[in-house]
Amino acid sequence: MRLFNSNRQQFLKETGSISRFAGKFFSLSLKPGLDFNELLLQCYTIGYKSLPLVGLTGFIMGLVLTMQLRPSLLLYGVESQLPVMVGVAVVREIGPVITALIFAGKIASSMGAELGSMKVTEQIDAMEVSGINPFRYLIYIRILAATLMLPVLTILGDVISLLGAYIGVNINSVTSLNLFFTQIFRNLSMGDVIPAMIKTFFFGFAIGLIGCYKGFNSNKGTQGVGSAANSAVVLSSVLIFVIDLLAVQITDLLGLN
Amino acid sequence: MEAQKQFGNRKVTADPVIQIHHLFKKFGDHIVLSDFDLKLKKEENLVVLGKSGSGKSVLVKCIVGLIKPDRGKIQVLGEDIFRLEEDELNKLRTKLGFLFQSNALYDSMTIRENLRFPLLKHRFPMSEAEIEARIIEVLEHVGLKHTIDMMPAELSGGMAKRIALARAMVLRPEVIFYDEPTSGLDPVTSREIATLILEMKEKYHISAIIISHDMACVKITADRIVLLLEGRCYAQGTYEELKHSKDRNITQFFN
Repeated sequence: MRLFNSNRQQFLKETGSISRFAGKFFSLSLKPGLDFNELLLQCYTIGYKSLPLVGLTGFIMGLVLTMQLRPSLLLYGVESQLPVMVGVAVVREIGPVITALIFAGKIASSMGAELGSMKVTEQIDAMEVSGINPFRYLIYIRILAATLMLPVLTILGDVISLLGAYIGVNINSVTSLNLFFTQIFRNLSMGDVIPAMIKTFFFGFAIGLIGCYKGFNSNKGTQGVGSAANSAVVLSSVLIFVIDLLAVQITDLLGLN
Repeated sequence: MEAQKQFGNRKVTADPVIQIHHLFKKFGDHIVLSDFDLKLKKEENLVVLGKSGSGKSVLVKCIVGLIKPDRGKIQVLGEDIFRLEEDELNKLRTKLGFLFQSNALYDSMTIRENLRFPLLKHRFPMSEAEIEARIIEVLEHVGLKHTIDMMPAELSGGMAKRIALARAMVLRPEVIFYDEPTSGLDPVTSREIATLILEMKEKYHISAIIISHDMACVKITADRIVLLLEGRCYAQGTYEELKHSKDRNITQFFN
């Protein structure tokens, strides 16, 4: 019971601390003085450098999903609906979630490790004592870059994934690229695309927030850096699913499903 | 007000640039600083001496606002630092320099970028040429102009310490804090760093608080020494005064 209470206390304390961290981000958003050069650099580091990984996993995911779905659809005689099923699944759910999970694995861990290492080597303190706000320079920009880059990566990941699916469809039959995409787009509505895109902003924000929070608050030397990187990935991955669950409920309530 | 006091063989003015009153800080049940008082005069090199874990680093981190004390008042250059807004505190910090024990150089930046960073971020009215000239000037002063395009990881311990000192100096601070400036260095390099600290004071008329265990460094740099014991200012005086004290708590540092 004592262990449960202590864990509960720890959970509430951590939640409060993360909320304050997020509050600081929003209060800084209202102040002028954004360093656009640094934002572009972070967008390049966070977004562009994640593209090969997101592209590769998206391609394999599209290909495998098509190959796995085909036997079931064959059973019911609706094999021709394969592009539609894959398209809807990728755009609405699998694309955003898988891209976010890959992004969390790459970006949250690197943010946790980089900021954690800066913290234990007193680089963040050095910034602070020279009168530079480390939250504005290091944290705010990284969270903003993650929030802006994940939707872009998701769109690119979805396209690459659908190309993988196109190859998957063509393993057993012959379908033109034009027909494949026409079939998908004819069956996709704005209700499929818009909510999926909106939630990626929240995924990106959560990943940036947790990665930065864990790194910025790491301690206990090098062990703390490892632990910050690890817990950043675990917590941001869990948050992706929690946000996804909430997003489904909200789109349901709004009648967009 | 501008009365002169003689400490050792160097002149310092009596105007305090830092005043600490009844500072109290504890971590859990462990009291680190208890009713601690201190004054740093203009152009004075003040060494804070004490055993490991006696709260010397906590003291300087309180002074620059990195750690908030539980009680007490700290005035830096006439400002009560815990009453300042964040922007005001950051403005005040541009007049302070800090040499970290670990050097704390930004390891993803070259030496030039390490030195440019504070100048650019504070948007001082300086042209690119003036910024470059300032960087060259401080690097020449520490004798490491040739390292300008190197990364911190490529430097030796002594070189990294000098670069950290150059970075602390680049904003032309009025007060500088040295946290164990010679720790981990060989005796020759330690003496060079100590001499450099003294040169900085003489050239730029800087006041300084130096945290050190290295008595050779203390002897070279100190105008006045404050001995921190059990969270309080146990004794103070010049190097010679404390060295010839009969109190074992004091003389143990000199033997």
